[in-house]
Amino acid sequence: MAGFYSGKEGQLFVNGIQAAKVRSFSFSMNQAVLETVSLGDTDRTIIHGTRSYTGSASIYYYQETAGAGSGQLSIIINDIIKTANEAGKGDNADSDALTFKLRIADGSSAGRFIEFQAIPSSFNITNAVGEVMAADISFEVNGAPTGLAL
Amino acid sequence: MTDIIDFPDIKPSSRSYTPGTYPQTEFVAQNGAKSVIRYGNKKTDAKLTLGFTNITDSQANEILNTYDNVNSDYDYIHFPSDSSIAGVNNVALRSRFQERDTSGNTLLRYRFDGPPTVTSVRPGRSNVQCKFVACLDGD
Repeated sequence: MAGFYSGKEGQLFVNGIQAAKVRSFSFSMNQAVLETVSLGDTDRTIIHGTRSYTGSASIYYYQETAGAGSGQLSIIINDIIKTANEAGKGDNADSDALTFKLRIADGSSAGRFIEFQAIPSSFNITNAVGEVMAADISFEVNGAPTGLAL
Repeated sequence: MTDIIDFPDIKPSSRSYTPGTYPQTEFVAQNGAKSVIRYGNKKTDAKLTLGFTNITDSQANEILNTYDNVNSDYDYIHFPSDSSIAGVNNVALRSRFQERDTSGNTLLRYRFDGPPTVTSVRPGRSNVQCKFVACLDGD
């Protein structure tokens, strides 16, 4: 069906499970270039360097029932923040990589999506008077996307 | 018998040239007076450095082959005007870089001043740095 898509059709999956209350997500690709300008040239010539991908998402902290946690947002938090069994201990577990799938529900069974493994590079959660508590996460993709159907 | 070998047809991305010096010895007296004994009227040991950025691996290999070819027989190198000396429009300056007179006669003979340095940048691409010294052969 022909049509435009908005946030209403957007879905974010973390480790294969849909995050419940997502406010936004974004994804960007960057292509580094290498210069091949030689003496005598008048214009800059380039070749492909390495690609890189980054993204971000904003997810509301939403619980189905009291004490249940916030679903995939809690999974993210527990994967990237590792606790120590004593204060002042500097040698603790590494954060885990996460698999993200950014999907547009277009009515087809698979939808349109891009899927990749990423390492979160920043995480920020805010609770303030007059605002719904939400978390902002930025991530950098490890390697190339593993699935692409956009 | 030394032969002249053309440097590969690859345009450098940087080039620096230092003219040679005249062979001489200086004697400085205690009062600061300087005496010079000059041994010849021809400059020697001009230096040329060529940098190649993001060239293909096959081009880098061409340069290494040239290094082997020149040094195995003690040949010497000619730098073509339209590649190695590209970007120099003044004919007289180009001849200086090539260590030739304006009639095209070789004044000094370029040889490698040490092996080229090849730095791999990404798959299939390399940076190469070559240093040359121009010698006054005694043949």
